[in-house]
Amino acid sequence: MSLLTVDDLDVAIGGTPILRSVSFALEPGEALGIVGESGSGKSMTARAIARLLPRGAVATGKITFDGTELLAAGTADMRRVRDGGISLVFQDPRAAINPVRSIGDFLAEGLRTNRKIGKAEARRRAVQVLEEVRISRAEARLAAYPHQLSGGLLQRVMIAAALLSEPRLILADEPTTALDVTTQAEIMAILEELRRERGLASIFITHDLELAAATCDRIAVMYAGELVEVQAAETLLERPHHPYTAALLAARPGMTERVPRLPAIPGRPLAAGDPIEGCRFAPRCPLVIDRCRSEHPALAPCEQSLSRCWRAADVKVPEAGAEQLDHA
Amino acid sequence: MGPLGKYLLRSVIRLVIALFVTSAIVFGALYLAPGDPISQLAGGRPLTPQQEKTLRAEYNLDRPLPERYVDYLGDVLHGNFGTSIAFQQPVSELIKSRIGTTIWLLILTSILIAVAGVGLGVLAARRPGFIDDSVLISTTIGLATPSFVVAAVLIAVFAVDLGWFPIFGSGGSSVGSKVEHLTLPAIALSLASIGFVARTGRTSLRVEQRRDYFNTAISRGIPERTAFRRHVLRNAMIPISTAIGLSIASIVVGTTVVEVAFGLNGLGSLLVQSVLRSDFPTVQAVSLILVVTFVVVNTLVDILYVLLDPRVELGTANR
Ligand SMILES: Nc1ncnc2c1ncn2[C@@H]1O[C@H](COP(=O)(O)OP(=O)(O)O)[C@@H](O)[C@H]1O
Ligand SMILES: [Mg+2]
Repeated sequence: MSLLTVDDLDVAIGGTPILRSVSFALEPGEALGIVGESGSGKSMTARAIARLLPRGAVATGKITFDGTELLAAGTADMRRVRDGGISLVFQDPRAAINPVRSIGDFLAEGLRTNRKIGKAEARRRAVQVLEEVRISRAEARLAAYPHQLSGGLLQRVMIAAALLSEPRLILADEPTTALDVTTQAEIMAILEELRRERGLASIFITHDLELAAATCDRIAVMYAGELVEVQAAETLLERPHHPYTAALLAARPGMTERVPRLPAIPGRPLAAGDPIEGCRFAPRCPLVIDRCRSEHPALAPCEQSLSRCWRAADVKVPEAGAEQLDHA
Repeated sequence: MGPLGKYLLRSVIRLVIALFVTSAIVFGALYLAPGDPISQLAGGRPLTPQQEKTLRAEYNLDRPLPERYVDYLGDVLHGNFGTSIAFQQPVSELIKSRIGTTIWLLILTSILIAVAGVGLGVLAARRPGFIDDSVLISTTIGLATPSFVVAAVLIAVFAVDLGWFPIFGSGGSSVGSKVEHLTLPAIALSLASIGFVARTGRTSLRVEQRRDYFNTAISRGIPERTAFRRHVLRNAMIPISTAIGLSIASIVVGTTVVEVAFGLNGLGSLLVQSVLRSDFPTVQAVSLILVVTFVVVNTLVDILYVLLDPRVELGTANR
C-alpha cells in the first residue's frame, strides 16, 4: 500500500483555482521530486498535504497518509500525523525557526510537548540528532540562538528537528534555495544519507530539475497548478514526454557554459487561475497543434511516463545547452 | 562580562546620568524662575526677618550654586526635602503620609493596563470580525477620552447611581479598603493606556501569527493554543511590554488629575495643592519623585526588552 496518495486534489483561494486535479502516490521509502517554475503550485501542494494552507484556501479531493484521510482528519488524528508521520523542512530556516527561543528549545519542543519526554532525555536526543546531521560541538549549540548560526547550520538544525519525531515522510520545500551553492550540496548530501539510512520517504520540491533528477527516484513536473509529467528520474532526462519537461531540460546550461541555472523558456507562464480551454502549456509550446488549444489533455501513460500532452510520443530528446533561448 | 552584562551596565549608567540631569533641573527651577529665591520659597507670603534668616540658612543661599546642588542631593538622598511653608511641616512627612495611596494607585493601574490591554489585544487578534471591530471601536473611544471625563462618568454611574464604590477618599489601610477606593480611579487612569496596549498587541499579534515559525510549530503537532502562546504571544510581548512600560511611565504624571477628581490624598493631589498654594519646597520634592519614577520605569522597560529578545545584544533586532 502506498504511504501517501494524493487523489484529484483541487485548491482554490477566493474562488481562484491554484491547484487543478493533482494526483500522485508515494511508496514507503520512495523519493519524489516535484519540479516546476516559481508559482506553478509546488508549495501549495506541500501545504495541502501538511494541512497548512493559507486562510481562505479551499481544498477538495482526497489525501491519504498511512490510512488517515488528511483533508477530513480531526485535530487528534492530524496531531498524530504531524508528530511521527510527516515532517516538514521549509525553504528559509531563518524564518521557520523562532528567533527568540534557543536551538535546544526548538529541537526539544515536539518531544517535550507531544510526548511528555523529560528535559534531560529530550536534550540527549537533540544532541544525538545534531550529530547525525554533522553539526560539531552539538552540546554547546543547544544554548545558541538562531541569529548566532549560519543559514546552512540552521537548515541542518531544521532537518534535525524534522528527524526527532521519527517521521515516515519528509516534505522539503526548496530546502536549499536560500543557501549558497556549497552549502546546498552539503544539505542535499545529508538529506540523501538520512533518507537511505532511515528508509524515509521524501518529497523534495525544487525548481532545479537536474538536482531533483540526481537525488530522487521519481520526478513530478508541475505547470500552472497541474502535474504535466510524472516519470522515473533515470529515464526522464533521456526521454521526457512533455514539451515543458523537454524545454526545462533544453534550458539547462551546457557542461562548459557558465550560465545561471534558470530555466529560460519563451513566453509568460500561465497562472493556475487563468481561464483557458485547452492545454495550459499550449501558448508556449513548440509542438502545439489545433487540438491543444481546444481540448484539455489528461495525465495519461505514454511509454514509461505519465504525460499530460496530446503529442507525448513526439517529444524530442533535448540537447543540453544546445538551444539556449535568449529569454530571461 | 558578557554582552548582556554590558548592556545592563550601560542602562544603569544612562539611568544615573538621567537622574543627575533631572535632579539638576528640578533643583535649578528655584533659581531659574524670575525674582528672588527667597520670595519664591515664601510663595509671595510676607516673611519676618527671622523666617527669612532660617530659609537662607536652610537653602545655603549665601554659598555658590554647585555647592548648593551637592548639598541638595545629599539632603534628598537622606530623605530631607526641606520644610513646607504652606503646611507648616517637613515636606518628607507630607510625602510619607501621601505616597502610599499613589503607590497603590499605580500598582492597581499597572495591573489593569497589563491584564486588560493584553487580553483585549489577544481577543481582537484571534477573533476577526465582530469582536475585533468592537475592541477597535471601544479602544478608540478610550484613547480619545481624557481621564477627568472618564473619572466624572465613573463617579456618576458606579459611585453615585449604583453605589458600588465609594465616591470619595483613599480608604483605610487594609488591602480590601484600598482596592475598593482605588478601583474607579485606576480605571479612569488606565483606560487610554489599555486602548494603546490593546492596539499595539492586536497589530503585533497579527504580524506574529503570519510568521513561518508559527506554522513550523503547528506542522510538528503542537496544539494551536500552545503554539499561539509560545510563538505568537511570546514574540509579540516584545513590543507589547514596551507599550505597557511606556504607559505606566506616562500615568505617573497622570495621577495628578485623577487623584484630584476622586479626592485621593496622594502625591498627585499634593502636587496640585502645593502648586495652588505656591509651596515651592513641596512642588520641588513631589516633582522630583514623579520624574525619578518615570526615569526608573523607562530604564526597567529597556532592560526587560533585552531580556525578552536575545537578538538585541548583538544589535540585529528588527531585521
Ligand atoms: N496566500 C496566497 N493567497 C493567494 N494566492 C496565493 C497565495 N500563496 C500563493 N498563491 C498563488 O498560488 C500559486 C502557487 O503558488 P506556490 O505553490 O507558492 O508556487 P511555487 O511554490 O511553485 O513557487 C501562485 O500563483 C501564487 O500566486
Ligand atoms: Mg514555493
